[in-house]
Amino acid sequence: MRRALRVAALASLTAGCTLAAGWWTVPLLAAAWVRVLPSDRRPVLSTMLGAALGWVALLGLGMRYGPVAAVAWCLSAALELPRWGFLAATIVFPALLAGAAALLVKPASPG
Amino acid sequence: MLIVPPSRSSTPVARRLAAGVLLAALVWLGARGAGPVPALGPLLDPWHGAWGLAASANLARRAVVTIPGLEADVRVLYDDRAVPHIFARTELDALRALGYVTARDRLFQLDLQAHAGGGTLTELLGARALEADREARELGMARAAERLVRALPDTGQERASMDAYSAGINAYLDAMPERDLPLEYRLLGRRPTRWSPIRTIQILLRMGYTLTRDYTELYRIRAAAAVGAEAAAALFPLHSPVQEPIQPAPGEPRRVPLVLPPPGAPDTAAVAALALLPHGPMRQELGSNNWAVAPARTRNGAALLAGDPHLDLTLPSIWYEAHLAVPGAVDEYGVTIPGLPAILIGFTRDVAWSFTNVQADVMDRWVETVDDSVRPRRYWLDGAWVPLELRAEIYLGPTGDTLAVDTVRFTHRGPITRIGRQWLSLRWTALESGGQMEAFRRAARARSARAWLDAMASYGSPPQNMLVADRAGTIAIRSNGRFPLRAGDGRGDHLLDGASRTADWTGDWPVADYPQAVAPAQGFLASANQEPQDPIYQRHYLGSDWLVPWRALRINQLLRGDSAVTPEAMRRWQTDPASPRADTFVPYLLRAAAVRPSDTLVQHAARLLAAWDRRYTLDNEGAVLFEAVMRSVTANLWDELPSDTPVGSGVLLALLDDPTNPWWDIRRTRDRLEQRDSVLVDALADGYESTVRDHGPPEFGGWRWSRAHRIDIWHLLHLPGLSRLGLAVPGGPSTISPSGVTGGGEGASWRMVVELGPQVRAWGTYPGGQSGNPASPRYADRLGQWTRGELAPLRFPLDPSALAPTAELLLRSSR
Repeated sequence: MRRALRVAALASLTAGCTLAAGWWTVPLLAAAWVRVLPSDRRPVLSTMLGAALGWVALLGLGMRYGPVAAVAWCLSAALELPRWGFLAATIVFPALLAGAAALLVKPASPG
Repeated sequence: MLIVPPSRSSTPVARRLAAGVLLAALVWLGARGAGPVPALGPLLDPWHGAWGLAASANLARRAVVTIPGLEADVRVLYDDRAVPHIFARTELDALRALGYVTARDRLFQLDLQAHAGGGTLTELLGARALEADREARELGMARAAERLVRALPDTGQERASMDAYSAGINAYLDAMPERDLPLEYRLLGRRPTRWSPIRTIQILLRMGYTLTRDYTELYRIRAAAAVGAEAAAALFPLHSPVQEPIQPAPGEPRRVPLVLPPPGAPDTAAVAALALLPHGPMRQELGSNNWAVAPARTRNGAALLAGDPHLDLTLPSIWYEAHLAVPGAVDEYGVTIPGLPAILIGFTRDVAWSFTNVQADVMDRWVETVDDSVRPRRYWLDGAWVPLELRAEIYLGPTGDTLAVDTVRFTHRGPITRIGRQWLSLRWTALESGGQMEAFRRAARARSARAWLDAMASYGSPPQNMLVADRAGTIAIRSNGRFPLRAGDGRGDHLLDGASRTADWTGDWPVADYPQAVAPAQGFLASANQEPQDPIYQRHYLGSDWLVPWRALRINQLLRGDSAVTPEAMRRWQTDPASPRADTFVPYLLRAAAVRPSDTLVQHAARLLAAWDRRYTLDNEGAVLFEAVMRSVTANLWDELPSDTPVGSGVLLALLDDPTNPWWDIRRTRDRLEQRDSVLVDALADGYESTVRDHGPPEFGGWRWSRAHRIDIWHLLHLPGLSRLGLAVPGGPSTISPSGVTGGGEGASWRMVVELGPQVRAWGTYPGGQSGNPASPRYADRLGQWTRGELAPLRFPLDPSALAPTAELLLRSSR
């Protein structure tokens, strides 16, 4: 439960920071998160989940303003990706950014 | 399963190293991209990135924007086809609003077209566009745009119109949220360029480039290099071998006698020139149509006008539909090209108009004597050396880096380029013709067809067959534009001697000499890119790049055969699938088949062609065979010529009446002397065999025209996913709605029918949609309607209250 709350909090922060400043905040936030909350047993997984969910939340917000599904298909077509390829890339990209940043700064395991 | 535990000693360092490398790679990909992959961060960002396309995909139900410079508020009401109806208090405000809404819907398109016209595509697309830019600048288009914009009087109405339109586009750019940046810029990693009047002129020059290239001159040189100048001149004659001119004349249609001399020895001068000419460009036998009917021949007693300009079909479409309403000044509806502050084809409450391309020769070349064959600085003129104007052309890349620097030279005639050992200067009316926007502005106020033509008299380039009809019932047409008068033999289809000013153009045609007709006795007028005037009435050389008038023949046949024309008939005729070309050639093929009655293949093909209704409908199974047979005929007949030198079907028609002409002999069969009928019979057999080979036996359904013939409408950046490819449409070579044998990407870019009754009624469509945003439901929503040949009623409300808008944009003055 606690972990789910942590992931949700990170997702909210990711969405907020992306909204306010842009995509490049994702790895910075993930790194800071791991440093601030070293007690997380699986910090890399948590940050990956949090970042991905943060961007999914922003997509959900975008659905209020226009046809996000149509955009997904059209962008996939433009880039010659499978139909949902652009959506998948939008979820995987922040997860990888966050995961790599978390892995880089994660404290070494004892023993 | 064996699980190998990680090595404790190396894990932290190796893992951190791997994580660091991965993170660096991801950040690099996010910020800069790699190779064809654009920067992923700004692209994937769900708020600021390409997902923002969703926000601009639909028009806001109601939006208010403040625009600097507006004299009063402007209401823009969008109808159910996403057409903006602009209600403004002043004409300049209407143009500001037009700039704003055009930028909102077509920002990338107008930017791209201006870059193309100015020779600065590299700034948007990088080095891959360098050759296209070089061509534009060597033709003098960049210099001409600068000169034409300088020539606009600061206090003139045209300057004010262009400034207002620019202000509208720039107001949109200034107010545009980052998330509304069009997809194309995101994929290219670029930003839009601010607008100014010179960019409008660059687009006009681009139109001139598209519409005034003379292919016949090029083909004639290619032919002369193969079979001599005399034969080449006959293969590509000055006048159309079939006359059905735009300006009605008694006794039309008629055939012009054509004597085709046998293939001769290659012309050495042409051979030398050939090596230096571009390879490949071939004109598609496509083109535009317009026709009008006087009230005496219409069912409702009101003049009717139809128009369908044929151009490259793209997504978004070349056209943008709009209605401009300014009380007491302008009330016009039609289509504009994004970047131009005017309705180019359309109608008002009193007149309607549409264009086809004249195909006139408005570009000549002179052989110049220069002081240095590599880097000349002077040219010889009237017995003295005259300095060349030297201009450095700098090609910048997307980041402002210099990709190349060229020196382009100019004589008093225009740009001079080196072709082999010769330096040729060029004069082209497009480079010197301004005032188009002002002509359109004045014409929009005309109350009659005659007044409309008077207003357009100053229009220079590209020359158009301008058809107009008015509410009083007058119909009129004029081949309108700047046509040069030449010295010597008066022709411009050969190289001229540049050593003397006596070889210069001596002036322009007076408007009274333009091919034209007003209120003709026959009660209708039509043009389809054919020779505008019968040669017996021509006072000056106009060109030789005429299309065989197959479409004009069919249009006039339909118009002559109906004395109670309706708007519905006009609509139906725009996609009429009948083919006078097939009607003409099939009987020759059938007669020839009779000379070989025992050849089962020939007889089978002949039976199929005899049963064919000669229509290019979607389910038709005869058109594929006919086109294959005609391909075989022309391949064998013109085997003395290079394959990229297509002889017109009018010349083929002339040759069919000369069955023993040496051209019928096939070169590769040295032991046989072929004549007309043997070539036609062999073509029947070859055509049948190749059709079976390509499409299967006829009974299996593979011969249906819809399967063999598809058209492609490409996105401006040629992205397949944003294009609409493989569309089945009726029509084929030389039908009223023409397309190539295998389809291609050209066609009716706009179709319009207008009835000028007490209340103007109009219908229209184009292949695409109003929005340039591929995620918008308005990106290609008209495509189905267009492929079916249907038109939508065009809403032309007298005032805002007469329209039920789907969206409203209020442009508020900041005063």
